Amino acid sequence: MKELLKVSGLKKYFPITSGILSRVSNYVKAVDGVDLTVGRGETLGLVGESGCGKTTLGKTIIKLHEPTEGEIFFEDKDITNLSASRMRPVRKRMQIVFQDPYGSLNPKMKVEDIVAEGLVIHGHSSGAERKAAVGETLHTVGLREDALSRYPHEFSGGQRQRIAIARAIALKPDFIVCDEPISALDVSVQAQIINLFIELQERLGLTYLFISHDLRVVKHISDRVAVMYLGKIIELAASKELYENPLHPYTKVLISSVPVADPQRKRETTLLKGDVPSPINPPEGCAFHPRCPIAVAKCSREEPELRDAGSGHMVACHLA
Amino acid sequence: MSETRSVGYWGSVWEKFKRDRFALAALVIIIFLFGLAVFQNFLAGNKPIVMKYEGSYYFPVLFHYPEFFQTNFKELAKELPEGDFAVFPPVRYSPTENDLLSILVPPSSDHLFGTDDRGRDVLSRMIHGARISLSIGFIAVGISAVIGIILGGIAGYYGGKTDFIVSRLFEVMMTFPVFFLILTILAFRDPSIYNIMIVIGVTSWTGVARLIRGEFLRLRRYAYVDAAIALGGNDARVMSKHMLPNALTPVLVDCTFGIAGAILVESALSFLGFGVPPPDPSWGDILSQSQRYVDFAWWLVLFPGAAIFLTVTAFNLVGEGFRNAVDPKFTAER
Amino acid sequence: MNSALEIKDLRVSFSSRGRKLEVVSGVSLTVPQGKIVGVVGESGCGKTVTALSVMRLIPEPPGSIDAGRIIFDDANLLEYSERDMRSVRGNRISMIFQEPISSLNPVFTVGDQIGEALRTHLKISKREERDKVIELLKLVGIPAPERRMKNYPHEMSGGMSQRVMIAMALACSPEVLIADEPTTALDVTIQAGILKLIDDLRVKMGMAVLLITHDLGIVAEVADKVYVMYAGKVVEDAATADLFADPKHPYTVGLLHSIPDLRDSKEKLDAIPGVVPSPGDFPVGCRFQDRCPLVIDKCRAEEPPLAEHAPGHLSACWRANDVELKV
Repeated sequence: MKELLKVSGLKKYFPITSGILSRVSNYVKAVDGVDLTVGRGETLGLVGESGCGKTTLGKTIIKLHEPTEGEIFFEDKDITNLSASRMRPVRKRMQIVFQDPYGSLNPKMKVEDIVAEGLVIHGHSSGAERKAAVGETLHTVGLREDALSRYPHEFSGGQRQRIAIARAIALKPDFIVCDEPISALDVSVQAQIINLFIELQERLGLTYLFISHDLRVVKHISDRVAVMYLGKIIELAASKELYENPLHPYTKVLISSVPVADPQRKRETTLLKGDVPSPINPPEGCAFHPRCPIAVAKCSREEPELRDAGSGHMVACHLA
Repeated sequence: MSETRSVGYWGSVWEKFKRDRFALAALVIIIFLFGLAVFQNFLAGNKPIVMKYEGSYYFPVLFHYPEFFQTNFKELAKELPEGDFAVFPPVRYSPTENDLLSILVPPSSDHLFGTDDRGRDVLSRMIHGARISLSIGFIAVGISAVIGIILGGIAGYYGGKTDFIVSRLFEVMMTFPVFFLILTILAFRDPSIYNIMIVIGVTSWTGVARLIRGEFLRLRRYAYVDAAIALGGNDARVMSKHMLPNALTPVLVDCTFGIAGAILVESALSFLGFGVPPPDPSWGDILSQSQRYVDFAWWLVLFPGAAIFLTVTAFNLVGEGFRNAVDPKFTAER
Repeated sequence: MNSALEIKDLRVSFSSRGRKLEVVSGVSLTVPQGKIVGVVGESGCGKTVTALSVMRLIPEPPGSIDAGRIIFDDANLLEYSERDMRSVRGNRISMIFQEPISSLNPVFTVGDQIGEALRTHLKISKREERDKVIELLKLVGIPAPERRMKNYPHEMSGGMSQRVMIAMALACSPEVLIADEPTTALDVTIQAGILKLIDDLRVKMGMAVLLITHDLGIVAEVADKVYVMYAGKVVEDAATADLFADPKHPYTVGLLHSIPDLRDSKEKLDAIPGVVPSPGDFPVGCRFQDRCPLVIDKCRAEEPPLAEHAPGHLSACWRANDVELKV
């Protein structure tokens, strides 16, 4: 598979300021050295718990945040330090769908203008052509034409998410960051939107970075899955492989924690001690060691590298 | 969704606004004032609205006719031949028309609100003063809103160092006692109506700027703003199309109060003799004349004073009603 | 088996723009002593309103409880005065909410807030109160309780705050605990711990738990009995094992098919089409008719009653016996 996106050594630190002169006193290390590749037409799942930096990673990759360090290549082109105007043609090809279907649509704009916004910015076609293109896009995501002249507040959460998806695909991008796109929706609607994502990928040849805290969903939609903990990727493998043969102790806990809708299959839940440490001062060595059920002395001293444990199954653990 | 087919945002604001009786009454007063301001020449003046003279029709209020240059229409009307006629406004005096034979006449059927010390009709001056008061209120607030939106928008959108610098500018500006600043500036400039508007405008933008800054800081975190950036929109477009419309409501509320404030400042300036230069009529100016005759010329105090009071109160009530109507906390059924 | 709490034919409505909209239409459910009963449904199905009605926390107006009985301790809670209700609330029936952080008061330490719950209902000394707070924090699995009780809510993580909320709810050893989406705002690894905690406490203290959730997985893990709600009504009522093995309502089947399983991948899910009708737009007949794959003419004419189709297994569907779970 040809790679579409490559990220190496990516870091995003947010400064914490204090005092009346806003001096920087520390940094939140939201993304702390991530290497990734996403192949064309692939879905790479990204799972992790709240605060692990997965959303920041998604936003930094499409440069909604300026990276602190590292490089981002889109189709072998370094886009890390492109200026806003040089970035514009690249933006056309990488889009994002957000979690909150209520906050992601401008309440003062009609659906038609929301979906057409990208076409207008990139100077596509005349008004009539644009209108036709918007109508067609809405049809693709399963909305009727009469949605055009209505405002976002007239739609349900699921329909709003369809509008947000329409906005993202209107420019015919190659790559879409899906940032928890279904977490705010009801179960029955979640399934509809998952199906829509799968369908769009087949029809339009899209590549996804699919971010979610829900392992069931990520497993379902992804070809490969990366697990993130405190700003770092700690395991990355083909979807099936990761679930059947998790190597990192954190991944094992995550998988065992997912509730299964089958009362016959009482699972063995491993409970973790403590909470996720603060990304301001992450623990020395392996960031997971204070909560790890199998940690040894080495884990608190040396940070494990993300290494290939055989046939492309990457893991960052001394003991795996 | 089907039968409650979009009343829209402003529709629902209006629904809630209507429930406040005082605000509604105040809105009627403001609309009435606008009526006065727009139709002032049809309501008060010494030119006929329509006149038939020697077989032709004339509209001296609307158009200027060289053949009637410096004609006294009232004298002319008295000598009109059979078949010709002239229809005058209800108040037959222009605001600048001196009548030295009727100085300081108390209210009567001829001069409903009396006359001032130059024999000018007070009612006519007040009707014409409405336009001046309203235009000062609106234009001054318009100027301050534009300045405030630009500076506040820049501070809130870019944040960081930019915000730091612009915010300090707000604070410096706020430490000035605005009224005395205006007095000082006007002392060095001609107190024309335009200068007054500009001076009030450029000295009173901090409120709007702070509001917009706060709204922009809040909106900057909204996903639709990120989405607009991800689509490739430049800063100006993101700010003007995606953020400003969503930040404007509290500013509009603030502006309503601002108009009341500006009208009050203008009246105070006129009262102190720094306001609208004579012979242009202004409510504050009429009031300032009353100083000398306050012991007997009560009509010079009462009518302009009441007009200022009513207008300022009306704008404040409308502002308050408007604020409650757009405040989500008042959305619940009361 | 004795029931700790019984809701009978509850009807609750809210008025909006002069229209009265019924959001709970005749819900009956029973929570047996010492058991966990799950109520499953999507947003707007009336599950939270049902729970708030038990606590008599429905804001009136715009809400109003129009009919029904809530039987607790052989009395109807709906007939209690506000004063009587206060002695029940937080004392004999407690509730925990979805958002632990916004449910705690930011200006008091967590120790103060748990102590407050104790002081309100029990007459105890300062010393006893302190000991009890520490005991409760220990019970809900908060390490170093002596130190933690002096913390403010913002110094605690989401999982810790939810543990504090549970400690508050348990302060007076309630007979019934109502948990409204207690883990929805939490991460999965924390969720598992909270669910285990609720289950352990039920065993230890013998309370009955009414667990409200949208996640069938959670119900499968901890509940003994399940009520499935849709559009203000109970559509299915069964023992947990029966519900998952042999669901008798097409909505339940739809929900089960909507959850991706960890075993399969990248296939289309059998999603339920359409959206939940909103109160006021409920169709005549069965409220699920427009989204149902098994719909027949009768469904559009007549509302199916909640009837027993297998021992202890009730379903409100005309075609309950044709409902099948796809394997």
